[in-house]
Amino acid sequence: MNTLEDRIRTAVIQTAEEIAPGSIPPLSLAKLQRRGPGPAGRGRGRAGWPRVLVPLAAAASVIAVVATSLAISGGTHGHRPAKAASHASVIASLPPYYVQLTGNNPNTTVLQPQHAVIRATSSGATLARITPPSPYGTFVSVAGAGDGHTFVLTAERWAVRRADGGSSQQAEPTKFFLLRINPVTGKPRLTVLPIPAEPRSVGLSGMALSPGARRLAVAVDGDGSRQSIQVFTVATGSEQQWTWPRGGGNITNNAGGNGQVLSWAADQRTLAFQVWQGNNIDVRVFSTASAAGLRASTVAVEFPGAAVDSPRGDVTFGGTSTFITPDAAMIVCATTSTTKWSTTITELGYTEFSARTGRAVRILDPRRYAGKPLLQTQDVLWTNASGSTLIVVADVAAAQPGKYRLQIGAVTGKGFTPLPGLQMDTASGPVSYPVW
Amino acid sequence: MNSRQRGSPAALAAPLASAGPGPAEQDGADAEAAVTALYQAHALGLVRLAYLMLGDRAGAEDVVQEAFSGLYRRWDQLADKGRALQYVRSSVLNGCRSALRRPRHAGVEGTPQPAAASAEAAALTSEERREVMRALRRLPDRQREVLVLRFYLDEPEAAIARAMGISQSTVRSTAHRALIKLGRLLGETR
Repeated sequence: MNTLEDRIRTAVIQTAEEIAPGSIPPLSLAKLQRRGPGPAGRGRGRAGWPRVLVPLAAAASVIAVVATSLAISGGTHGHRPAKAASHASVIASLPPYYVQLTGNNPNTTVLQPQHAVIRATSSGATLARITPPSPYGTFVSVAGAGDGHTFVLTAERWAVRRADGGSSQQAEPTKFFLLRINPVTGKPRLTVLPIPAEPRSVGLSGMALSPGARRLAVAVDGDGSRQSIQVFTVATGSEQQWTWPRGGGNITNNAGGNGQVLSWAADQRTLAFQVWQGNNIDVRVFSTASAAGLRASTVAVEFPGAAVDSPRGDVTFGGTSTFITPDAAMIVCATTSTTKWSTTITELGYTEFSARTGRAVRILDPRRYAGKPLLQTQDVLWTNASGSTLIVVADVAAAQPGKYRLQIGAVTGKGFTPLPGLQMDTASGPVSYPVW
Repeated sequence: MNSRQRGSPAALAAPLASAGPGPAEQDGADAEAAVTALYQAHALGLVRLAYLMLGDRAGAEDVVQEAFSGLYRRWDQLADKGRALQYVRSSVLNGCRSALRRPRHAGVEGTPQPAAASAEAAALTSEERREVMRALRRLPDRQREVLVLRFYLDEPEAAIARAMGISQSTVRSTAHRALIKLGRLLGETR
């Protein structure tokens, strides 16, 4: 490929992305009779498109979709479901595809070589299965740009696959790949990124791809447990790196690779990250454009081992992921509250904190559970630009009284919308979260 | 968990194929649901494609709306519902060609304007991109279409030829001429 072709490809992709996800008006179908099947129908139709379109009542079309989706998902016990008419519009506002890493063996205690599957958000249908190119034997992590089209995957070559105490695993240097799903054809394309492979001695504790997919942030544990954050320019592989001071806590979410330790704002400069130290969990923010870099990071939200004030009583961190919203205004995460209610009631929800003041601003989809043992399996997986729509992992009541299962869905101020094909029959979390 | 999330490999067709037989009104609801589901999954990509062709967001949204309305009206005539996406994409490309043929089409000669309310888009704007897009807009419609299909959709020559209704050799020669002209235009403007 020559430079001119690179320039054209980059220009058309970036220009196309000016049309933001969720900004497309809903479909307004013509209230004209459809042409019937068979020779008679074909014979009487004229060529070409109708010039005058009469809008169809939107509810009629979306209710049909709602009925289909709810039938697939099995309903949402214990949640306040979104109204039927808003269900389709919520799904339409989400990124169209997601990527999930999965192995052939569902045994969660034994690590398996993983491939990636691409699924449609609206239906859960599988679009493609992607395996790592030789010599890499497994994908180990994935990050999405949030648009449902662009992802970065890391791949390694495992010599030993048991991780349950039998023997140690050996990993080759970690290699980065770009997965782009064509927005029109749905065809995936996997390419090697010019980002240098991470050495075998380095472990990745977090990875985030910026909106627009121009920058990739990686949190790494280096030799001697020194941690650093690396930021790569995706197109060129050029790198910035900042070392986190010893004694400053760990850049992690203690979730074994799931969830969001790092997250970008849409300006592609502002980066948020989690730091765990003792019982304290901080979400810090810094500008990667600043000369001071990580040293100038500030605490945006602090969970000091106890609850923090929220509009519905005190809340504590209740998930593994924290996101800065693309507009950089909010920090979003799953939360748990036990203090406002009696000791037998727990409230789970998704709390949005002001990134400027650290104060809780609102809680989306708060749900109360009586006598439920807390597994803290709820989480946030994606946020839209302002945090008004999230994709989350939620605890929902199972058919059997007192039992719960996990359901991934979208939450807005109007309630919870389950996503087809993303319900789990157990209360244990997925081996690998879907990534948007 | 993932083992429970099975789906058809022909995922794009899956929501369409799920429509079962039934009375006429049920067929109508199925068509609405299927077309709406297809719109939800692909409208963004198709509007983006039309936007690249037209350089005009409102025009792009109109073309895509018309294409889906046409799909809905002709739904019962589609022998293979699994090809609905290809059908609607061809309609979008045809709609773009028609729009470009209309006199005084706004935006064709200019640079696409970023969405007014999108701070993200503003952050992505660069002189480099504007320069390439300005040059792309100066190409003849057919040359621009070949380049958009090749570089935005990553389509091979055979698929571009099918989409445009021309031969593969014409695709090849058109792309060749387009790249030469584009290179010259970018050289001139630098």
